[in-house]
Amino acid sequence: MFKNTHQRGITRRRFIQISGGSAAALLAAACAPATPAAPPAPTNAPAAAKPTAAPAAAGKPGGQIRYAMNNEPDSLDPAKTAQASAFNVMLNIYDTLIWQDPVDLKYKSGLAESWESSADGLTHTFKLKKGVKFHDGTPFNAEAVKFNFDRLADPATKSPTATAKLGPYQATKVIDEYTAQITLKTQYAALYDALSQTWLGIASPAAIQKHGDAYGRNPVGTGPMIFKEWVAKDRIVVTRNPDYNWGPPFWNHTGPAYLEQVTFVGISENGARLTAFESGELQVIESVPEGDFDRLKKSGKYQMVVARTPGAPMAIFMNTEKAPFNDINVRKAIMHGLNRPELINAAFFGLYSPADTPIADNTLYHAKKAVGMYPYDMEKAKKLLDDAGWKAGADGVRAKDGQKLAIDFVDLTTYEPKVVATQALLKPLGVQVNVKVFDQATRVNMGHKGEGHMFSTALLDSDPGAIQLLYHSRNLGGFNWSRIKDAELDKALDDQAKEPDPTKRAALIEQAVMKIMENAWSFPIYNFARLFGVNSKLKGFRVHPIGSYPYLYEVSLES
Amino acid sequence: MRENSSVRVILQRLIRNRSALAGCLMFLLIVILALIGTRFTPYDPVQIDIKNRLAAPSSVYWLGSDHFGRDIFSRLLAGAHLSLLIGLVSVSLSVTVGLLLGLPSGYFGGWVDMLVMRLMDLMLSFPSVLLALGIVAIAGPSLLNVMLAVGIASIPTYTRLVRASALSVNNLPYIEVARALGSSHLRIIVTHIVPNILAPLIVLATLGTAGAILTGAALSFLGLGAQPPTPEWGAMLSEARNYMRLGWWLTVFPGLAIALTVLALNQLGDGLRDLLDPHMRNI
Repeated sequence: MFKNTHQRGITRRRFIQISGGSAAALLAAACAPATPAAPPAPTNAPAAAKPTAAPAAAGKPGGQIRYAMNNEPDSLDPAKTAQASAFNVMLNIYDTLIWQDPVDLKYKSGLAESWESSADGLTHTFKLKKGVKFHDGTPFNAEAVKFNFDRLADPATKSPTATAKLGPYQATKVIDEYTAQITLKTQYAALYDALSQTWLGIASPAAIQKHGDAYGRNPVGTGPMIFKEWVAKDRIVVTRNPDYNWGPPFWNHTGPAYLEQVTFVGISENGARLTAFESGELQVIESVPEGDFDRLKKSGKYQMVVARTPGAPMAIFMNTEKAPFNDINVRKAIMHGLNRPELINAAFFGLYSPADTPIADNTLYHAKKAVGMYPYDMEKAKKLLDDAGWKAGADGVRAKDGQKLAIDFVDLTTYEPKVVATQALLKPLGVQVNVKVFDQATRVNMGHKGEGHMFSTALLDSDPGAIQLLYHSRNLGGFNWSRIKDAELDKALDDQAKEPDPTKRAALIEQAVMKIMENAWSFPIYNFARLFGVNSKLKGFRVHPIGSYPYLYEVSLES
Repeated sequence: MRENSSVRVILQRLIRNRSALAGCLMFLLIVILALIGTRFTPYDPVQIDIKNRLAAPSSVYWLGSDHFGRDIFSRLLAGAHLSLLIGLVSVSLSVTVGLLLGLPSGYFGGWVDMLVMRLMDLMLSFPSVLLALGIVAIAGPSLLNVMLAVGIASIPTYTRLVRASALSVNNLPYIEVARALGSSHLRIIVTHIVPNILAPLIVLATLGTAGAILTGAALSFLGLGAQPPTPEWGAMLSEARNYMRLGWWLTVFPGLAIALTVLALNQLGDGLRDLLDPHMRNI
């Protein structure tokens, strides 16, 4: 199980969704989690959503909103989905045992009031809150926790995400009605992170038994919103849970949610979504295209939210097996020669902040030491190439031994502006970038096979260990697009996954990050964010630390 | 003498046919602009200039600037020859193959005719855009592949026209005379049939060029044609569509450029049809 988690822990599909763009999740992802040291924003960057503490002023109860995602979820059973849009809805229906505070990134009480871990890190005991009821009236207790986790551990459940998140889970023991004890097969550093994500949200055992395969369309949790109806290809409606009084301590109020009802709709066409938002038909939209975000922001009529996602920032992966990137000097020259703020400005209207390390700085154990290793320095970049024997030809493109310094940049069609901007910005360096944009499946496959020189992706995850997916040698043929085979790096990545001590784990992660940066194996470009448009009448809009999903519980509608 | 008078008649008719004349002049203008565009543009058509992005049309940027701050007029100028080239190359290809297949088919008939026509039926069973799309998808995205694909996809149209024309000419007395005099098949085809089927072919080719430009732009719009930063008109339209809510000029001008070129060729083709109608030839 453990191996499973850390090998291809995130299934390919999920990865695509979170890293992709086309499916939307990454493109739209979220969250204003803590930005401990915000990197300098590009010149015209609008104020990014800062990790604000919950506003103190009480909201007005009542009101309904319509919320547009860019696709309809496949299922609202946390065990059966891997979609960002499903997470979006489920966050309101389900509670998790613990929650991660979006400001200090610490774990706070959820359905579990308190917890303790054994010294060996294999046994974790949770004291559960009393008086919590599922929406179907059945009580929440240790049996429910056991039922949920055992269900995920059962291979028959065929969970695309949740099982992997549960890691090396062995069993849950019901100590008494309100005490559940989870035992692990091996140490698992990301357990608490996993438990705080809605993929491991607690569903009503009675409802799962009652609905069977249809449960995904009839979800029942303990969350602030009760599932009301799902009209296929049209809408999903949730209404306020009047009994709710067990939210995490960092939310802006206690008791039931302010909003009476939320209607989720899936609209994939950007133009249609924008038009409905601007006409007031929708109160919240996701995945606002950067250009339109800029336009709506300038209009001053809306709250435009840049919600940073944790995990790995958008980075360029340079295929180290293929010339010219088998030469470290060429990789370093690219990293010094590409002006990232300029790129972000050109391709994305300056909406994102430049990234400095392979782990986003709003993620736990972000390795600060690597910040600033590759400042923009065109002269240095030119010198690196000159010294490595790449001389400029008559057409301005450098060449060595008759081979041109021409690079195929393989990316998603949606990201064409990024590739075209890279092409223009690397031209003065004498590097010819060929734009190769494809649909998601094609370009991911090309990355897996190493067909191309440059690839780019981000990774959305609240646990820093997730970067193993991009750098561990066992993921060659997978998302290890730089094609790195390094025993030391592998060991650091393996060890951190098992290290229960936070300080030691941080050191291991830093070691891995420094190794990656010193060898110029990947080139972090910008911190990924989801772009939301929010009607100015909504107050208290904030997002979950995993990066994409607003806490609608906190939102109120001012008349 | 006769030659001269018929040319004069054609010219007179052209001048009298206002819309054909307009089409002709418009097309000439586009050709001239395309030639200028390969040598000179007011701005570098591919240089990114973020400070001047999304500038509205003005005396500085005649047709505005795009999301990367590139001058749209310069890009249209630099891309004009590509659209014309797509039309020219693809139509040349389909006319050539159309002649090679259609002439023997119409002249000899029999199993040759049978074979060629069934092959054409097979190709016609796919809509031509779909066929072109399939060919580019297999061959890989590039401008050359688009030209070939568009050319191949319209081969059946030309083959059928050539065959039908050859068939109608084939039984005329002068061909019989040529045969009786012992001319070889090749000689008959080249000197007697081809000149007499050129008129409808010219008309179809002119109209076909318009269609080919449109299909080429459509393929580029879908990302299968010219690759960035090449300012091909269809590709420009495709890039601009994500920013169309930020400035109307981003999509309107490339669209207009394609529309005007197609309109010019269609008018010209219509006019030529009137002029070259065999019923009026001997006036």
